[in-house]
Amino acid sequence: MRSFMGISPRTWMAHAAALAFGLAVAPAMGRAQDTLTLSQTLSAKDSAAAIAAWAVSDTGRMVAGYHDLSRYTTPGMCVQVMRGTLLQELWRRNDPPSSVMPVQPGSEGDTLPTAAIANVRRCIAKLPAVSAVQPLELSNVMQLGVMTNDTTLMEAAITRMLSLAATDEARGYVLFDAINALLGPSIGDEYHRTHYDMRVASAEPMLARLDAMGTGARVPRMLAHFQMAEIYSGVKFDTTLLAREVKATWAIAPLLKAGEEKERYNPSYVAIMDSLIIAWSRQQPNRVETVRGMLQRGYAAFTAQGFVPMGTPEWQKLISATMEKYASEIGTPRAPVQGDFWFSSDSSHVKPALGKVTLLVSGRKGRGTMSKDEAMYKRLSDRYGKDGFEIILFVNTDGYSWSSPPQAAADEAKTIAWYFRDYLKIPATVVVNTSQFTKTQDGRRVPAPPLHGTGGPFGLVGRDGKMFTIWIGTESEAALDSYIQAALAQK
Amino acid sequence: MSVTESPASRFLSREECAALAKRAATFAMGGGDTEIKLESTWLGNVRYARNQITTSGDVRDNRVRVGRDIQGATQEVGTNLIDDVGLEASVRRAERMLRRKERSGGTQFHEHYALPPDSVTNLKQLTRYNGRQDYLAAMRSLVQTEEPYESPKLFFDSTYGLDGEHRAGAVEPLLMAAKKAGLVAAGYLEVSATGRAVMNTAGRALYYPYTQVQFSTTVRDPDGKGSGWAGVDWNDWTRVDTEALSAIAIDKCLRSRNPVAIEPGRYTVVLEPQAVCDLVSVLMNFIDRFYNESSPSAPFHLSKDQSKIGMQVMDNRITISADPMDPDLGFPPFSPEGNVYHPVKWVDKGILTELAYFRPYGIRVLGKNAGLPNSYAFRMSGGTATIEDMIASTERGLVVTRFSNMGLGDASMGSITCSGFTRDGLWLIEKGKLSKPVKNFRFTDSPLFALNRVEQLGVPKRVFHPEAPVVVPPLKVRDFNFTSLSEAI
Repeated sequence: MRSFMGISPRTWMAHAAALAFGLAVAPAMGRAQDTLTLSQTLSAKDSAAAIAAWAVSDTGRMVAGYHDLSRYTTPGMCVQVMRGTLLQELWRRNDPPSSVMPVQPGSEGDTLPTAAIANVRRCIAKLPAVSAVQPLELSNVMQLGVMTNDTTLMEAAITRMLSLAATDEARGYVLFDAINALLGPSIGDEYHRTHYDMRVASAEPMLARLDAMGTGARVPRMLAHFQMAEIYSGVKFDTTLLAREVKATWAIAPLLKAGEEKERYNPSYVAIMDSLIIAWSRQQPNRVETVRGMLQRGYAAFTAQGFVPMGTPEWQKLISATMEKYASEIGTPRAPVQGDFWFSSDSSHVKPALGKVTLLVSGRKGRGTMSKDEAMYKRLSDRYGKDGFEIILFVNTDGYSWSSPPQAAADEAKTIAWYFRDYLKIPATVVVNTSQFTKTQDGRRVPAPPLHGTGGPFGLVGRDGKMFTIWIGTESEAALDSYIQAALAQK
Repeated sequence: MSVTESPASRFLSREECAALAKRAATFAMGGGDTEIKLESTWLGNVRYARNQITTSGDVRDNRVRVGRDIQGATQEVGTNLIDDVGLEASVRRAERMLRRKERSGGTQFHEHYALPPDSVTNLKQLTRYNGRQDYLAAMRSLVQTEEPYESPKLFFDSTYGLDGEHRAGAVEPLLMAAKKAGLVAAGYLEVSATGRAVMNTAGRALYYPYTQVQFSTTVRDPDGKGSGWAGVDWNDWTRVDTEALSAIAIDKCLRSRNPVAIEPGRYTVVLEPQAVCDLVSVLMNFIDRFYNESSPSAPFHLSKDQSKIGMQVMDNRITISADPMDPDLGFPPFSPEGNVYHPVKWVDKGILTELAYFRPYGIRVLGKNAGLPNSYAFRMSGGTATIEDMIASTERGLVVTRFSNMGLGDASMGSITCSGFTRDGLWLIEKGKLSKPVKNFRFTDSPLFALNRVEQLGVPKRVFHPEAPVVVPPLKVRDFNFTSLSEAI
C-alpha cells in the first residue's frame, strides 16, 4: 500500500513552478501548515524542445546488444533472451504516457521488435547444429525458429522430434507443440497479434499433418483444434473457419476415450461455443434457432461419449443462460440512454440516435495508459465515425478522481469526460451516472445498487434503434469490426 | 531551545532541507514534480561491555530519498550524497527508472493521468480546457490540502547537548556499581537528533526536529548463572535515570542466579511492562485496515471485506491509544513518508474502534480526506495494581522480565500466534510469594488471546522500544503457554 505518498501527479504547471521554486518557509511549527511559495515561471530547460531532445537521447528502447549473451549457451537460455527482450519492449509500450512516452494507440500493425529478433539470432548463432542439440532442448529450438521466422530451423527441430517420438500420440504432441508455438507463446496478448497472419498460415498445414495421424493422435488433435477455434473466434474472427474447427472437435469427440484429458477442453469448449452462438446468431437470418440446433448436435456428440461435466445440468444451464439472454434482448428496441451528466459533441441527449450505429460500452477509469479496449474504441471511431457510427461510454462516479480528495459528482464527471474525450481523444459521448453509497457499520462506503442507470444492456445498436448484438465478455476487435460493418450495412 | 528555531549544525535545519529540495528540483528534467524525503541525523553513542567502555562515537548522516513524478509515474531513489553531483545523479536515476517502470498491474494509488505531451508548451495553453483545469485542481489539491499536524515538544537540549564526555560520565557509575557487586555489565547509550523533512515542488514543506535517547544495560553473573536487564528510551535525557535502571539490572541479576528447571506448561504470569511491550507491539504491527479487511489470517478480520471494528476484541479494561501530544509518549507528528499522525484510540475499553489506513484508502473507501497511519507508538491503559499485588494474589505462576527473539508462528488461524523466549529474569511464584528463579522458557501464545485473559493491570510506564515510544502497564495473565525449556539465561 505504501507508495510515493507525498506526491501527486503534477504537470507542466507544477514543474514550471518548481524550477523557480522560490522558497519562503513559514517558521511556525504549529497547526498551520508550512508552505513553500512557488513563483510561476517557465525556464528554458522546461521547454518542449528540451524534453524532445531528452527523449531522443535516451528512449528506453531495448537495442540489439543489450544482453550480455556470454552466459547464454543453450536453446532454453536463448528463449529466455527472447522473452526478456520482448517483455521489456512490451513494458515500454505499456508505459504511462508522459513527455517521452506518448499514448500508444495499440499494437495493431506492430511487428516483433527488431531488437528481440536480433538478440535471439545472435544467441542462436552460438548453438550447435540441431542434430547435436539435447533432445529435451529441441522444443526450445523449434520455438526459436518460430520467433525468428526461420522455417528451416523450425522444421529441422520438428523433424528430429518426430523421429525421436515412439507413438502416434507422442508425434501428435510434437505437432501440437509446434502449432501452439505458432499461434502464440504465453507472453502476452499483444505478442499474439504480431505476425499473426503468417503464423496462422503456417499452423494450418501443421494441423492438417496432425489430423493425418488419425486416431492415435486424437488427444493432441483435439487440443490443436480447440486452439485454432479460439483463434478464429478471437483475433482472426471468421465464423466459417470457427465453425469448421468446432465441427472438427465434434468429429474427434467420438474417438476420445473417457478420462482422456477431458477437463482440459471443457472450459475451452464452453468459451468457443459461446463465441459460436454469438457470432452465428448475429449473422444468420433465423439466428437463435439455427444456433440452438447446431449447439444441440455438438452437445449430443459430447454427451454421447459420457463426458463429465458436459452432460451435467450445470453445463446445460450455462449454455442455456447465454442463449436465453441473447434471445430475449437481441432485436429488441434499446431503451433511451439515461445519465446524470452528458459530454458529447452534439447537444442531443436522445441516444442511441436513430439512423446511427451505436456502441454502448462501459468506460474504465483506468491507470493512465490507454487500455487495449480504449485504443480499440479510438480505432473503430476513426474507421467508421464518418459512416454514422458512434460510441457511448458509461462511467459511474466513485466520489473521487484517481488521487484527488473527495469530489462532488459534477466535478468528477468533468474530470472523467476530460480524460476520455480530451486526453485519450476518443470521440465518444461520455455519460456519467452518480453512484449512491451506503455506509457500513465500520465506515466503509459501499456502492448501492443499481450500479448502472444506463437504461438497458451494453452492446451494439443498429440504425433501427434495436439491439444488434449484446455485449458478452470481451470482444475481439476483429469480431467487433465485423459486426459494425454488418450493422452499418443494414438499411 | 525552542523547536521553532533551527537547532544547530549537526543535522540539517529546516532552511537547509528546503535549500536541498530546491537544488534537487533544479536538476529535474522532463516536467513533473520533485520531492525529497530526508532524515538528517546526528547520533552519539557509548557502548560498554565487561565493565568498561569499548566504543564511543558520533555519527552524522543524511538519508535522502529523491522522488520524481512525471505525469503520474513515480519513482524514488535513495542516497546520502547531498552535494550537487550526488543529488543530480539521484534525480537522473529516478527519471531513468521511472521510464522503465512497469505499469501493467501496479498497486499504487496514483493511477492518474497526464496532459498530452504535445498539447501544452506554456501556461496560457493550460487554460484552454475547463476539464483540464478541474483535473489539475483535483490532482494538486491532494498534496496542497495539507492535514494539520500536532507540535509535540520532542527536541531537548539535554539530549542534544550530551557529548561524548558526558555520555561516558553517565555510564561510569554504572560500571562501578556492577564491579562492586561482583557482576559484569554491558550496555548501550545513544542520543540522537534528527531533522525529518518532506518537501516537494507541489508546495509541501514538512519539517520536524526531534531528539531521542535510548539506554539499555544487561548485568550478568561472571559464571553465567544469572542475568538482569533494564532499559528505556525517551526524547529527553533528563528523564533517563541510568543509575536506577542499572540498579534494577543488578538486582535482577543477583536474584536470578542459579535458576532451577520446572516443567513447561500453562502458567499464570505477571508480565512486567517490558514483557507486555514485547508481546503487544507484535499485535500493533497488524492494525492495518485494508489488511484486516482482506486477509482471513489477519487478527481483526471478520469476514469478506469486513474487519472487527466495533467488536469486543480484548479485556474491557484495556484501551490502546496513540497521541503525538501525550507527554509520556510524544513522537514526530508525521512519518518519514509525510503521513500525518492523528490522535487515535485503536481499542476503547476492549472494543476495536479504529484500524490504520493511509489517505488514499480514506478517500477511496471511507470518503474522508485524511489518513490514519499507524505510528507504531501506543499507550495501553492500566489499573492500580502493583507487581507486588499481582504476585501476592497468585497461587502459582511466573514473573517475566521480558521476551526476546520474538517470531510469528502460524498466522493462518488469525490469532497472530507468537513464539519467543523469556530473558534476563524469570521467577516462580508460589503461594503469593516469589520462591525461586527458574530457567527460561520458550513460549507460544497469541498476544490477542493473552489480552483476553487479563486478571490484573498495573500502572502504565514508558518502556524500551526505540522504534516507536510505548507506554504499557504490567499485566497479570492466566494460562500463558510455555512450550519448552531454554538453557539461555
